[in-house]
Amino acid sequence: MTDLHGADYRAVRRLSTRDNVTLAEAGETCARVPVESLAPLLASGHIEPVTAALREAAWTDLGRPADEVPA
Amino acid sequence: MSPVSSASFAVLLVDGYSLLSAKVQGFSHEVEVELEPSEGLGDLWRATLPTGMRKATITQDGAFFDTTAAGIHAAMSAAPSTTRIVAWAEAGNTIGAIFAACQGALTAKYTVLSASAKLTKANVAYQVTGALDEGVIVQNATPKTVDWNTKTDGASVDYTLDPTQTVIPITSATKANPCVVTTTVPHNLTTGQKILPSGNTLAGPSINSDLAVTVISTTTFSVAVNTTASTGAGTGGSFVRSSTVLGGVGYQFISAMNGFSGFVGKIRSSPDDVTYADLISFTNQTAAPAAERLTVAGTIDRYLCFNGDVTGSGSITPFVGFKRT
Repeated sequence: MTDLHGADYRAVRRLSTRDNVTLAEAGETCARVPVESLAPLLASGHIEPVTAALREAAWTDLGRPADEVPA
Repeated sequence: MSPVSSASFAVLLVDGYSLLSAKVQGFSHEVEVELEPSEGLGDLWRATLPTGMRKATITQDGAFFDTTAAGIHAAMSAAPSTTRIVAWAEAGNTIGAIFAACQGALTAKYTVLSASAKLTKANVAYQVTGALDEGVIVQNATPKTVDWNTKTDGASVDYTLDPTQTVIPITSATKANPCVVTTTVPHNLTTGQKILPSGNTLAGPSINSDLAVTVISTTTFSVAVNTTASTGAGTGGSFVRSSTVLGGVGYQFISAMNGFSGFVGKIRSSPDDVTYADLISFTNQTAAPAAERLTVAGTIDRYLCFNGDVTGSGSITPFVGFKRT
């Protein structure tokens, strides 16, 4: 999987630390989210790529067919 | 489920009322498969076929109900058509222990056995109109006086340790990229779901870590691990699921609330125990008793925790459970 950058993703749900400190509200970019959490959060659908190109890359990185990338 | 004793029966809530204080003497729940007749002309014996439908019934025997104004006796006897949210925990009042609950439990029968002073002894049977949910306790019933977070309190829930998990044996794991895992029984996984294998002999690198799967067949799937540098194929071991993908159901009950002007409970989940995502936010509650059931779709991660945010000063006794679909 390619290196992920928080600014390229936005939160689908509110994200927070273990202590419940907000890292990103739903719809905000994930610049404050720890880099190591981006891939698992993406796989769980809690964050999504901002651009269509990143969405396709993320989709195929998960082993899913390129012709079924969600809009 | 392991055998439980009376002492381990720690929670019995109906719409937020704690019926343990009502001294229930017996409790049972049953799930019945509905059948329809299927015999034809000339048949001599009754024949039935399953309809695919099930129904659940809950029964509590010999409870003493408080008959004071607005007490539980009035609530139970006056409105038998009111649907209720019922929850119970037979294996202890502990975070991570199993609980069961349902919404849509109609009081099918309320049989008064005797009455004395301000108490009425009665048997109650509920017919559940929806599904019976069995999950884990994410917040046990215990009084709280300030905001709290079960994660930082050291009591979050790890799905890989869930007592209801089915351990799936691994037959083999290939030396390939991606590595293909074969199981001895159907794995029942969905592409994108995560598993936690252990005990497999594959090395360099190992597959014994939290991994997402791509399903190939009912007994094979691949994981995104390049094992071509391994000395050979891996054998043995097993795995448990570390995420689910079909959503879930959260239950929150407030059996006591004094002083506080508001309370908001929230279940959060995390795939890595570092960053958490809001999963379910319950409605702000201002009084007890109260109960709420909320559903959520999509992936449910490995770790679950519960946050309680109170307004003002006082005391509150919540109970929260979550069932993965």
